Amino acid sequence: MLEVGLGLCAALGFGTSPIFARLGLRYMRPTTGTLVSLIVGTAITMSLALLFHFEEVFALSGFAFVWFLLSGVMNFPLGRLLNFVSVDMAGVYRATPIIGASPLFATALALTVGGESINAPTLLGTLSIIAGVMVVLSQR
Amino acid sequence: MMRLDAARRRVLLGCLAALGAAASYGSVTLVARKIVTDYSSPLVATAFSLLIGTLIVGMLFHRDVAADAPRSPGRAWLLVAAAGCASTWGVTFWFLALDRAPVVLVAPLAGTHPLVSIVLGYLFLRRIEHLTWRSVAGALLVVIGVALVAVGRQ
Repeated sequence: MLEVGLGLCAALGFGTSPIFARLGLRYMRPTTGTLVSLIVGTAITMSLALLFHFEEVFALSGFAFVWFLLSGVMNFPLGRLLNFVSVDMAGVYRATPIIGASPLFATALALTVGGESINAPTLLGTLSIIAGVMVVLSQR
Repeated sequence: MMRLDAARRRVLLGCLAALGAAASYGSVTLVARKIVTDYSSPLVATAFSLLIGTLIVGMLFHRDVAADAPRSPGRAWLLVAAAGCASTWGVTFWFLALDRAPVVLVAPLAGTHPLVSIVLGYLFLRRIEHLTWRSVAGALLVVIGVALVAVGRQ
């Protein structure tokens, strides 16, 4: 039961963010909004990391930072900025279902690069996600 | 007519940006898996990825912040800061949930976030956006699809 609550709390956070972003981006550029949201997120997350993993933070290998760089670039200058741009330009109701389709890309990579095989639920899920995105894109 | 075309083009570009964001978020899961398997805990990985992302975005767009500063009301800064807090909340609870339950349970639950956005949008964005049945149906199909993919990849 606790696990369900934690998962729903994650959904609440991810679902609330575009609402705040949509309201704030009426008065500023998405680039500015992205940077402010990242500064706040970094301050909170780094504080928690230092609080709970102090020793690990100072024992990281150089290779770890190469991977952090890759993750940082893909998640934030690309992911977060495009997320805010889409919310600003297309609106929350169009942008959030499309962004929610990200597992589609993870699955495509897992199948092509990761060598995973496809099964019935994955195929049905993929088709459902594609159909959902098409329905959202089809509105005038 | 020209104004309508410009509006449509803006929405289309926004949808393309959303697809780009989805591709980025989807692709980075492979990188994230490698990091948490071989190098660090999820929280430390998120903190440093955020720090690096912030530095890059800051270097690229700090002039936009300077330009927006005089003309944006304090409320706008608070709202985008709240968006950052909400995202951080989501990521933190995502990792807490994954620490206690398998992806097959957590992914469908966290994957309901488009529906959360639609409900909250209906409550708080009425004056800004118009909710259509296609948005609701599209979000439902995506959420069902994410749940099925999570089950299939278990």
